[in-house]
Amino acid sequence: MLSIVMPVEIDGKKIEIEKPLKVQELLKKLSLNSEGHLVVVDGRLVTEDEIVSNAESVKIIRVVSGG
Amino acid sequence: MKCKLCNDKAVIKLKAHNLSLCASHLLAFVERRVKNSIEKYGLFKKDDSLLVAVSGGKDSLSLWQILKKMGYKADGLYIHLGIDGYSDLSLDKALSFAKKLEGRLWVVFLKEIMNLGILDLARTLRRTYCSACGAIKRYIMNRISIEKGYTVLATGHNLDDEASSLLGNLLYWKEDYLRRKSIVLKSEEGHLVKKVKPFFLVSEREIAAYAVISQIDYIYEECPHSRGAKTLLYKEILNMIEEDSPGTKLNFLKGFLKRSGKVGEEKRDEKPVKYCISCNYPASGEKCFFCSLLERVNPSGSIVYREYSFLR
Ligand code: SF4
Ligand SMILES: [Zn+2]
Ligand SMILES: [Zn+2]
Repeated sequence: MLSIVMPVEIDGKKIEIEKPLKVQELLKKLSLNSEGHLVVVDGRLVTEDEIVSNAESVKIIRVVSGG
Repeated sequence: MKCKLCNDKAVIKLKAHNLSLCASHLLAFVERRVKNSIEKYGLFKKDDSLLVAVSGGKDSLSLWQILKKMGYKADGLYIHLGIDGYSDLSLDKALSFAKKLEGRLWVVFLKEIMNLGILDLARTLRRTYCSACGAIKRYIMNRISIEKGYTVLATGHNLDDEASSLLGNLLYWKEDYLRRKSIVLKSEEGHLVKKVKPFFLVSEREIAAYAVISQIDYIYEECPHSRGAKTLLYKEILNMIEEDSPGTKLNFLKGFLKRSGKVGEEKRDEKPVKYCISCNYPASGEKCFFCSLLERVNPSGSIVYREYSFLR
């Protein structure tokens, strides 16, 4: 399959990741713990088994706060 | 992945509960957990008048929304600490949310009372930012509750906050903290308001999902002076364990509360306390730390409560 680069937003920064891939793999690639992060694809919260392929926007939300 | 309850597309999997849920069932799940905690641990009753400590973050805004939705009389309190680039933005979030919720928000500007922001006050007190900030916030939250007649003060502390602070206190055997650690602190007529943490069994991830699904516009940035490092480290370690063995955080905290007999039991410090001659707050000398501080930095100052009411 032809893979294309997609922008992923995390903590206000944009990085580039090759798609398609599973949400789970995306987190793993970035060494992010799934208990500490949520992934929003095109404005929708998604589970880790979801495959990100045609997404316009991917945003990773850090849920852990240090307060 | 499908929602275990309705077969719609799931938006989240909660491994600790072996549940995958759609958006609306995740909302219902979090609300039910809060309801159960309130009832099971006797946090408060229908006729209580609640004040929610609102920071503009996901936890406090979600908590406020849930309590209002459940029909409680719940107002908010926002304390503006005078931290550049953070306080104004978080106040903005808190105010817009109060409007959306049609609630009443009390706002206290620290600089208006003391002429100084939290950083200068911490230096004056010779304490770290977070320790001074915590003490001042607790004082103001308590004082407004007593003065405005709120019977319960609710904070947004979640499972991760509680489990990570438990871990930190255990690692260094801070027995004083461990003895006091509780989810309900009882009131002392005229001195201290009852304090509760309705989110103590809801994880940070569950609350964040709640906020995202509810489209709550919360402040994502951290306070630039966050004690962060240690708390974040403990939270991260717990989340690594959680990923490997789902449910560990819940067991850890519940196990502690059960063993220490703290659930529902309402205990403050045991030692006899004196009370401040000018405000009735517990004090070690004649005056409490807050009144002494005020005397030092702004003798003519007093607390001003600004009311923003969007009640209908
Ligand atoms: S991180 Fe520290 S200084 Fe900042 S608001 Fe929290 S307690 Fe206050
Ligand atoms: Zn469902
Ligand atoms: Zn006092």
